[in-house]
Amino acid sequence: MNINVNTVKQLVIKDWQLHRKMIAGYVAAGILGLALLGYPHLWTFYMGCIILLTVMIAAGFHAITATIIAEKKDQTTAFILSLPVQPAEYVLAKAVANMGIFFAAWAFIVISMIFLVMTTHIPNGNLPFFLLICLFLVMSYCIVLSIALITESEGWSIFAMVLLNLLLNPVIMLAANNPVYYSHFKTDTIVWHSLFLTSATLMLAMALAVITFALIRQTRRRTFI
Amino acid sequence: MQNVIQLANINKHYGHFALDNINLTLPAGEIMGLVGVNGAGKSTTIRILMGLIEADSGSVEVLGHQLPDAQVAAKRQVGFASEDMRLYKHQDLKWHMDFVRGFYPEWDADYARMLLQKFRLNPTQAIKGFSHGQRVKASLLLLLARRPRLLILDEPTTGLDPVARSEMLEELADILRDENRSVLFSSHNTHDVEQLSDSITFLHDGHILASQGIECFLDKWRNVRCTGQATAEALAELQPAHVRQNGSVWHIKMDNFQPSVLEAIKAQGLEVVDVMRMSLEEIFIATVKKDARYEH
Repeated sequence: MNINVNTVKQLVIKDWQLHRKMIAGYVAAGILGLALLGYPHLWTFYMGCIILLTVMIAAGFHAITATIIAEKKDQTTAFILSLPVQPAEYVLAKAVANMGIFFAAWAFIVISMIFLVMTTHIPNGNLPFFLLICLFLVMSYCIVLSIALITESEGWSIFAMVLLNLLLNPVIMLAANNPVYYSHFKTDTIVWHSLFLTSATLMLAMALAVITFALIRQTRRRTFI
Repeated sequence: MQNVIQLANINKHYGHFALDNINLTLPAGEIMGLVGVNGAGKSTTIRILMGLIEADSGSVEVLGHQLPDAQVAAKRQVGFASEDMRLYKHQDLKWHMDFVRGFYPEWDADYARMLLQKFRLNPTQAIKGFSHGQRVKASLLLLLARRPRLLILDEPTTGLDPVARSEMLEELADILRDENRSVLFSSHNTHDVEQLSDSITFLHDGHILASQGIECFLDKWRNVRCTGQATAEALAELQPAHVRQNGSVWHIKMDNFQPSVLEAIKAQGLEVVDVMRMSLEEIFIATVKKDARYEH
């Protein structure tokens, strides 16, 4: 497999140009969520949390829908395939552009949130819990992206999105009711418990594994269809 | 003469459809029309030619490159547009031109500007504001300005109203006359193909029925109109492509017409009223019917 980096770069830039308004929108919504989170009231704190969660979920799923599924539905794929592009470059570019969009919003929110937790009234002990949820969203996103890359199917992608979203609530409830996390909700002591480290490692490993599998499988294709 | 397209023994099987042993060559500088009804296998053949689909067996060579492995090298010199190809509706034509130019160092900016004027396209208008005809022209501009050696057009006139189709064919004819390039284009509309092509390939039900120069088709085929009493069995000895009886009038369509056939028809007790040249559409329909007769 001989990947032309310049081709991949052009395709990634294309996707970013097409969706820059969407990226800016999510970053703006993230700023709103962070502002509410930092405001010293309980209701603004919860509102901020919900907005940030929504932004991170929506940024990932919207990116997948807009760059992979909509391109097929809008029949613009044929236009790209008419260019001197091979299947491996196309798949790689889709993965890079997508992850770029998602992680731009995700990283902005996570970094800002860490800064906010460390510098405001929010107890620092919440940080492992917050990060656990953020890492679960990364894993969910990577699973849905892999399914979208492999199947290019709107139905399968939506099924995976719904299923993983349904899992989010139990994950939050389980973590929030676990003393490893809740015993530090009102303290400024950050405890990196082995349960957190194991969960985080497993989720990141899962994310990496599914993306790697999808990329290896799809970049081996000799034809597009 | 070098062949720009060479398909040899191509087979592709789907559940309810199969391309069956397709052999096709397009010599350099020639314009070939690929004619077939919807579902005949035109788009599948073209997708194999573009390296989008892999054939189950056989070999595909485009401009000397084996596909699908060397599809990038081939596509650098091929301009491809299909009926189901869409541009990004929220972007304008200039954005598309800039994007495509990034893949083709040989992009001809002057020619692109000339085509913009010729096609009367506004480069700063979003694609979603274009009519279907304008979108087809925009797609053509994007592929012609790359100066491709080979054009592959899959149903370029489908969905256009009669005026837009006529304009499009005139403009295509102008462009193709100006350039010394090879063209393969598919259509189910024989009138379009007749206007543009040097040679024609009839594709039906996944296999090639006939492939030759357009003049060859028109010279070889005749519709002989006769009157009198005869039986279809007796006329079958003449090996006609198709025979149709309306009362005492017989239409005998011959696919390899020789004047001596007229004597043979008279010998069957029929009187020849006239011998008519056939249009490409009539030839195509008769070819398909002949194929169906031998199949069943």
